[in-house]
Amino acid sequence: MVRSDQILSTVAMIQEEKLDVRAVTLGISLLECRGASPRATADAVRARLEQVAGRLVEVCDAASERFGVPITNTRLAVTPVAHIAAGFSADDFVLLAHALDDAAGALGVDLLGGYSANLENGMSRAGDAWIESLPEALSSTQRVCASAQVGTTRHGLNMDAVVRIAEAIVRTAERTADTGGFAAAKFVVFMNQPDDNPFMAGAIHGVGQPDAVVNIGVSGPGVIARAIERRLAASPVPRLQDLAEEIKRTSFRVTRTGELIGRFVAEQLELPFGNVDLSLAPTPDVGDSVGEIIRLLGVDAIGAPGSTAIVAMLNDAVKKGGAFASSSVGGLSGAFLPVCEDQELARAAADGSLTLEKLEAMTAVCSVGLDMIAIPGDTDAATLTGIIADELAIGLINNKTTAVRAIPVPGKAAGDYVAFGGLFGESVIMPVRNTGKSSRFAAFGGKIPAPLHSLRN
Amino acid sequence: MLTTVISVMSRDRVGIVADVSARIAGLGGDIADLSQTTLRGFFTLILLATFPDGVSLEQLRGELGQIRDEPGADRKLELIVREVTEQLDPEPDAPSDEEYVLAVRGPDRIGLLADVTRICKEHQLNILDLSTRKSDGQYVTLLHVDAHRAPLDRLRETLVSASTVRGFAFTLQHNDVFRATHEIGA
Repeated sequence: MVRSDQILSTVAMIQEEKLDVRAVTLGISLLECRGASPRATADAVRARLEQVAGRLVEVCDAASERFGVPITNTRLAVTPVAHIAAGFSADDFVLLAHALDDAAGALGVDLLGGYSANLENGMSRAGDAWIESLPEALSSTQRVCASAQVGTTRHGLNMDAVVRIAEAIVRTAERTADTGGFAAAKFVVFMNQPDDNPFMAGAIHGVGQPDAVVNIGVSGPGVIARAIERRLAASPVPRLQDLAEEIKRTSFRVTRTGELIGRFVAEQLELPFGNVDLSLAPTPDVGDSVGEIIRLLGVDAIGAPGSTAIVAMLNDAVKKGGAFASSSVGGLSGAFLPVCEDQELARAAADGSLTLEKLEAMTAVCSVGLDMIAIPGDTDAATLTGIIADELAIGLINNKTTAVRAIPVPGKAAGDYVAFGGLFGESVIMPVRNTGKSSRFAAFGGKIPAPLHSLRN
Repeated sequence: MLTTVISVMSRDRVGIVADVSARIAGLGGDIADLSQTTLRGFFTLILLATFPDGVSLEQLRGELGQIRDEPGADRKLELIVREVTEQLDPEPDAPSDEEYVLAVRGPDRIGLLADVTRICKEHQLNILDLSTRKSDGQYVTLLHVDAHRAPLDRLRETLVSASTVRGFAFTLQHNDVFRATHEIGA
């Protein structure tokens, strides 16, 4: 038998430290579903999803029970719909969104990602129709998540798309003013979007992927926080590299759990196993916070000097431990900083220690970007364009993924409060400085060219 | 040939296995398999040994019976020697696919272990290994069980109601979770 103290530490990780599989995401290709009409396409999409994913929830329940590890969410990711709906009108795109929503509901999954488009090197008619459909599609569906890749290091940053998308985000939030602009929380705009990421709202099933694939997102910020606490209490007094080592080892164990469960689910569904995304993804629950880890690693307030360095070390240690733990690591695989979804980050935003500017800096060294940021409802679209462009430029130049999921909360100002509920959490509205000063930049449009180091051949 | 199973219990001291195996070798015996455990100052072992023709059980008991519990003491170790006539179970090779760890945590009280092991018996669970420890004033029992004969959902239901009635907490998880988190190459 594995040693009893080791057994007890694994049991504690799950029972007390909130280790869970955050998402089992089944990626499904819709490329065969294009029919002679939008209606026929929508029907084919629905049929395909129900056929491939019919047993997903049941298998996940069985896996969860067998291994004693909660699987918090079962989800679907599909081919970015602009690929199968090219030529459709905006209304037809919305029809497709409803088919996706209905299928997700029938299958019992909580979210479905892939209402998406590739716009990295220029606009297309499909892209235009898709953007036009966004406010209606997102406000009239429950489970559908949308995303767009508007730039890659290879191609540059498509500013035409950024401008149009910023406007669409504002309109989408306004449509759902009664829920605090919630529809905008289901949309992410990316630089260098991974095509196999199991987390929402940016999950898609990329065009180069097999017909169906099982991807897993693990999570365990609580496990890592408790491991750091134990190390801080033990002797000798740890230095930074000792703490990095502790994080790495713990990340190994967390990722191994995800790998085990992912392979079991894939085997039971007779589908290929894709990858484990070993990201530290917090939830609003107490003890499940990335912010807490940052505080434990030495700053009294998240956002204080040292915070960026800490996040850099954390992100790297998580990747190292996870990489050894799995034969196939992918997705985002790093530390998330979603303000609304993390109790301590939300608190730091509320008391002013954590500002948008500092978050932007921290996202340069972690894995996602400006995520779940609630901003004043009257933020002008050009300013939002600038926020998106700034964040995506970090990814463009550093050859990494960066993204923005910002929610302009209609009728609310900085310091007000918004609650989205469930995993989407709650937070104070963060102040945006220097608004109304970016119109000339936004008016240019066009493209920021690919950086020199994209010439790798 | 005489095939025997031999069990020994005594105070734990340096040299018990040496004393036992020396006397077995002295009778021409070949030890096929042995397992031992110590528990807070006491020692127990069980072994299988085959002896050449001419060696009898009485002879064997006589030889091993001379080993002292403590050097220089009068008390001898507790000894069981039995001839094996039945077919031995095969050596266990790969773990079965249905091995689980049942971890039970509860206040230290009379009957907790009996309750849990009775449930295992009722559900056809073979206990492969068992260990106990005190942790934060609670009694933790870890049972490594083979569940291939038992429908697990019924076992879980029984454990859930027993835990409520009898005041313990439990987890029941496939062994792979523990191997995955603590073994490289598992």
